[in-house]
Amino acid sequence: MTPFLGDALPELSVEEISRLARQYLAGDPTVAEAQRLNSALQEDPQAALELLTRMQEALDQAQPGGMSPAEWQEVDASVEAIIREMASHSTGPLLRLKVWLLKHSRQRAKAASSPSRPLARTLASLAGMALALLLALGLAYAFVAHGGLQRIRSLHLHLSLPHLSSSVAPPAKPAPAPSPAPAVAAPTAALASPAPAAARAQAMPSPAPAAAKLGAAVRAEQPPSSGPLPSELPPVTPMPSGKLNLEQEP
Amino acid sequence: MNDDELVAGIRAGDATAFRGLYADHKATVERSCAFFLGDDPGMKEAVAGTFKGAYAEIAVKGKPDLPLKPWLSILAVRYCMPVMERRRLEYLAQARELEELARRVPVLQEITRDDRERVNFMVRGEIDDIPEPHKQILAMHEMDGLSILEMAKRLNAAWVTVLSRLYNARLALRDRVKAQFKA
Repeated sequence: MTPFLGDALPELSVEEISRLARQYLAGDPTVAEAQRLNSALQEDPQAALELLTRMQEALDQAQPGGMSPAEWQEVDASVEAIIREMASHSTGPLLRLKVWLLKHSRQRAKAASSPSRPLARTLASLAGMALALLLALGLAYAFVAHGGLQRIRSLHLHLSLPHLSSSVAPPAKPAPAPSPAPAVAAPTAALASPAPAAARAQAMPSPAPAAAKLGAAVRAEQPPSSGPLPSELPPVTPMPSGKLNLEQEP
Repeated sequence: MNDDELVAGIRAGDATAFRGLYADHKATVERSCAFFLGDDPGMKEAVAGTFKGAYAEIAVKGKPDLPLKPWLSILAVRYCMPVMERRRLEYLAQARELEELARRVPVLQEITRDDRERVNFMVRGEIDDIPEPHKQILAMHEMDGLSILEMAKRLNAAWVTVLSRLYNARLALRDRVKAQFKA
């Protein structure tokens, strides 16, 4: 086969493919167009398929003949030569082993896909589902038993503190905060982006009264019977004195 | 065997699988090539080359991205393209030769300076004396201005077949003009 050189091309649109196909078949393509067409055929399977379809559509009124029996004989001989070449490239026992493995795998695939053992397959799938369910239940039990819910709740409180404090505190004058509120902004600083944290800290009134009100708000929000025992609470970062401490929760 | 089994068999060196591929898809490949090449001698080369290429690609790259039928059709056109390009380049070389010939005819030089037009006038001057089937195809192309594609549709012939017929008709024209020129 004579190599036919072409440049690497960007993706061709369907219209462009159609135009290239017609231009080529009309017998008047430029060199660049002929190269683009060939590149599309060689490099992009989807473009090649589209091109082939367009070219065949363009020629659909033609009724081309085929090869004569004598020509087919020549092609058959060529294909047999390929097969002989195939056989010569593989060693005898190795080829037999490969073919045996292939047939064996085909038989297994057929057996697996055939509906000859529906009960066994149903039982196996049920057992798998039951095992997965048990595993999920065990994980859920372990999570609850080790205070996972309390950890989540305390984390939620940590996260919601700045929001609560700003809603509880009066819309005070934006006093310049010399330093971010240590009790409230410190937990959020690690979790939130710095800019909103600083903005919230600036919008907050002076830390001490706000935190006192916040403590009251939090205590009011927590139902007394729903809180865990103090011994079950997770360790909390120590806070400066006079500030909110979640261990005071009922 | 389905596509997967054929590909796996060919990769494993199973001759039966390759024979299966050939038997299942030879008609597809023939049809894809026949649209373009028709009865051109390059047709055998393209069909055999397609199956040789298919074997090589499957052995090296494994299963193609597309199903075997469209994939083989594309491969067939790839193997037709060199034959088509060969015929097209021969046709273009002949066109240049005819332009050169027309440039040496004094009457045509007086009529126009355009090479393509000179050839057209040359054909018009000789068309009545050109024998069939050359006369018909030359008239379609030079008098009616039909492209190769349009002629293929009208004549129900493959693309390369039309190109070859036009080539042969022009050969007849060239020989006739040369004979007159010498005389």
